[in-house]
Amino acid sequence: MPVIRLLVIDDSALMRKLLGQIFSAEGDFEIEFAHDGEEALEIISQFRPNVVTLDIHMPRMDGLTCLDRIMLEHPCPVVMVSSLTEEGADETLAALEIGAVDFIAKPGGAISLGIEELTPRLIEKVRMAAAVKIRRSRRLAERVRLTAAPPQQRHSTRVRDNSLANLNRGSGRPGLVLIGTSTGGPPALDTVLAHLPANFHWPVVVAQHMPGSFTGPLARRLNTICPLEVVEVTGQTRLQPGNVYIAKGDADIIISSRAGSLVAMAAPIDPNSRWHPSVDRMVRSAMKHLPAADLIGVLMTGMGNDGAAAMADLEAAGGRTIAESEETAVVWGMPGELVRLNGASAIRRVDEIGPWLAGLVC
Amino acid sequence: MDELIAQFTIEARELVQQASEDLLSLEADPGKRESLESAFRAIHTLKGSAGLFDFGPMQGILHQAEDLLAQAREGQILVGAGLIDPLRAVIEWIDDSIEGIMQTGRLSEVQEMQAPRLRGLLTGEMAEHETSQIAGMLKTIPDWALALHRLVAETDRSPSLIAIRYDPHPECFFNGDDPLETISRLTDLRYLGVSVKVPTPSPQDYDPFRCDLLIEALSAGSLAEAQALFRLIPDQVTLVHLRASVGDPDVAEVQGSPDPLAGRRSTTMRVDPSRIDKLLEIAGELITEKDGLIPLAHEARSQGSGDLARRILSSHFEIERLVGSLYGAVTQARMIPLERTFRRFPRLVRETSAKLGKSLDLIIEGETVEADREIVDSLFEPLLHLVRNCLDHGIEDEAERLRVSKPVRGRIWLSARQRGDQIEIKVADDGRGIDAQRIRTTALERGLISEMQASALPDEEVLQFVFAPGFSTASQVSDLSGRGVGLDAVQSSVKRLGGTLELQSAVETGSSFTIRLPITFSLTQLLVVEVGGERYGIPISDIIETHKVPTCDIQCVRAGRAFILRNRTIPLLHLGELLQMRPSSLASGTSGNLTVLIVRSGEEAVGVVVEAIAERSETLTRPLSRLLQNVPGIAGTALMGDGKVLLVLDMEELAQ
Amino acid sequence: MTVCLENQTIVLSGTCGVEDVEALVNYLEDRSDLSVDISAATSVHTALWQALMVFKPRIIGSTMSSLIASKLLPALKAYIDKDR
Repeated sequence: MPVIRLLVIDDSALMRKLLGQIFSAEGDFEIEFAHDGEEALEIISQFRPNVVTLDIHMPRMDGLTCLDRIMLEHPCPVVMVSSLTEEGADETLAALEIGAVDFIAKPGGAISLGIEELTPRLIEKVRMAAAVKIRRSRRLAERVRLTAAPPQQRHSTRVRDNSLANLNRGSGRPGLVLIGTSTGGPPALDTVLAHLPANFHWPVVVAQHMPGSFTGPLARRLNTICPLEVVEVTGQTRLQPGNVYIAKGDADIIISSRAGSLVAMAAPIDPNSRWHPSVDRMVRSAMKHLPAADLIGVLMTGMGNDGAAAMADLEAAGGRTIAESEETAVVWGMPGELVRLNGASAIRRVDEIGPWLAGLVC
Repeated sequence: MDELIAQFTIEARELVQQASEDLLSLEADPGKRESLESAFRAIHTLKGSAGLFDFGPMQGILHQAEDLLAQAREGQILVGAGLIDPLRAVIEWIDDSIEGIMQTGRLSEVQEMQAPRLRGLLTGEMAEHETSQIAGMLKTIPDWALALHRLVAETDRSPSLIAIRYDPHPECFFNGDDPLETISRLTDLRYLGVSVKVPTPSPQDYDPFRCDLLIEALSAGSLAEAQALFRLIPDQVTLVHLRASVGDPDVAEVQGSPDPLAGRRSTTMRVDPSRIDKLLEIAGELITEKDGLIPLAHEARSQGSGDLARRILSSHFEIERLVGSLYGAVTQARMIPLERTFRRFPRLVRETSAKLGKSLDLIIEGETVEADREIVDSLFEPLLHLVRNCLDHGIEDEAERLRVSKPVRGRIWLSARQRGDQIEIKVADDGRGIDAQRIRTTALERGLISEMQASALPDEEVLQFVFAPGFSTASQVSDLSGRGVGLDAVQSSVKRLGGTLELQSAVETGSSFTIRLPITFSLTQLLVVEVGGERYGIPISDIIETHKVPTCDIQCVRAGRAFILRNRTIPLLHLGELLQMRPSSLASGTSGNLTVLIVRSGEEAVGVVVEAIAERSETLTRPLSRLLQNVPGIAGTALMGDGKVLLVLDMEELAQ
Repeated sequence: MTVCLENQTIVLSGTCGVEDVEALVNYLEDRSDLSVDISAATSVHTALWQALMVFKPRIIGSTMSSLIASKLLPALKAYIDKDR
């Protein structure tokens, strides 16, 4: 069994001890600890970890600075250890943009996860992150893009499929774009949504697997970089053309029709599905209220298979679906499954998805 | 898990320390950004760590504290007493909890009981000195409950009904709640009403996943059942206990008992202090009484009933725990803020400084810190002495201050803070300070120290000689540093309260007296001994060991007696003689063995002969009443299970 | 199917959970003239009761749960009738 070298960076001795215990119990982890960022950078160059867990709040060098330097100096998969607070969310989202693969919520905040509850997810996420290949160039390129002004002008990507270009003419009303993503999703959403022009007139509904306290900050953050209006769906919301709707975390999202107009609403989670907001449930609910031809499903980077089955059905019913390509997906779980189910109308790099959508709708 | 708990306690101690230092520095300089950041981080980390365990309300409280700090960081609230005091209370509470957590892995009940008070402080709903433990009683039955009551047919009325008003949270469905299903679990539901809240949403605007209902019900089941049912959602439910008197169904002599879960704001109740003292006394008696179970268990065992013995012991253990909580709760009720004593100073200082012709400011801090009422009240005199000292001798007159380029106005600080189960009170000035060198000389002149000691002792220790009996009254001393009359008196009154007094000083910069006191009178393990037909208590912590010494081993050394213990010569004293009893009343210890307690006297061990060791007892030692205050060697009194008062001896003082 | 349309009646059957409220609302909104038959329902989530209270359809039948039959249903009907 190959050994996974894990570096735990945490200023709290308690967290170091806890993480140490959890991973040494796994048997195939070799664990090193760093108390702060300085020490971490030293250790990384020697230890060459396969994966790093990084506390976002640290004295001296804070987590983000440390992450920044790791990504520049010794790129390797980093899982942020964050708090479930709103501020924690902002910092975590920043970390994901800088290049952290994923995050785990530290027990704390209003919703406290017990250790037992936390452990399996923690192990799964860290194992998954260890398997991710960090592409240094791509990360750097993304960061350069992020520091530049968000693209406002339309992209002149050609429409490749003529039948798609006629999509919304038949039904006479705008259709709906449904995006599902998980691990690695926030930076992917940055890329896709920043490429949607201001005249993109279909509503876009996004299910990003995330805790409830993170989706509000995510929506606000995306709103600043995206030409379209981005809001979080916390209750029943009438869908407006050209708006982007982020599903609230710790809940599901369903598309419905009320008094003749399309609405999205937060719904209590369906305990049968493991990840929330559930992409499968979002897509299936939309299919009840819209013809498949008026729906475009986008499945991007993420662990697991949520959304793949429903989007494959959508494609079979005449809808359009796109899977992010393995090349750019941090984890090619969900999109990979869609491809395996033969349910993807197209497979695109993350930076091609926005222009592709714009080509279809505008 | 134990290892993690141990780690937690280590880390928590550091963080508590860090946070309290940060708060102190914020208090001095509210604009100090780095202290605010550092305090935030400390609380944040503590919260994260606490979240790994089940410490009941601790995490929520830390969460609230963190929120407050976060708001302060963002400039939404000002850094001031309104922020610092509640945070300090939280930190102190955590500090107090650590010990128990280390031992049991859990938050003790006593600590848990303080949670509502802290929450109140954090939300600013209560002033610090309000006692939340005594929840107020609801005087009137709310109208809705009466209206419900009228809805039930007379025949259907049970003598006791619970009126329930359940206002589900709009997002309760997301938490998995099913309010109507929940309420239908009540065993004896007599009435159920449900309505959509006004303004009723129109069908097209209504969100099916949002709960907009109001549910009212009457149950003939028990209040406990209803409370248990709504255990997790106390903020959404109000329960009112209705008791109808026979024959007058409508007006009903109804006695409301507010639901403790209803999240109602607690109100204060004034209680005559003597009633609390009575409670404390009973709690103290219980503590003694419970130990009677132990001999009972031994007796059971010796009669061959091991199982019974075990059961008695386990019941003893449980009673011990409960009595501990009771005692904790009652002591808590006796706590009052230091403000009561501190507030007497501003006027006093103003008047005295005017008389002395000195201009100065008195800065009072930490007056919200709480301690036992008796301690707070007894503090006035020693503090007065110290403040007077600063005024008279510490603060220079204006001319001199100008000469040494100090601000013209002198400053005296009177501050208090809580540290664990102690309070620390500082009386400080920015006056001329005390020259340790001159104290050294005086101490040497007065034969308090040898030449060798004089040169070996560091300045900090030399300074403490100002508290030596008679030292500060000596005329030479008044001249040199002006530390005038009665510092030894301050020392002894602080000691009587179970505290310590310390002086720090630097020439030209000022002096600072630090009093450390227990917050409450704590339980002490006493050894009860007999001498001359009387019984006395000696704190077990004072006793190194006990011995039976054969009379023949006693040797006469110069004027006294001594015996050899493990190759060391131990001076032997008789407790009766130390207490100046008449020799005739003392049993002559000429034959057989002597019972000897080895106690500490300064650096040395001393043997003290007693006639018998009666028992051990865990009890509450209280400082002496005024009458006995000047008897040396008496630490306080303890109330025994039989209602008798036992004198508790201060062996160190006695053996001197 | 826990919420369905049978013979011009909206029928609730079996365990009707919170997730079924959307389907119920869709029916009630489209066909406000239809009655709702709850006699085949074994349990009905509060969210669905609330939907009935908002749309105020005619309710047919009683449920298997005696409590609902004896206490909740009268309360519900009283509420609905009050506004009619």
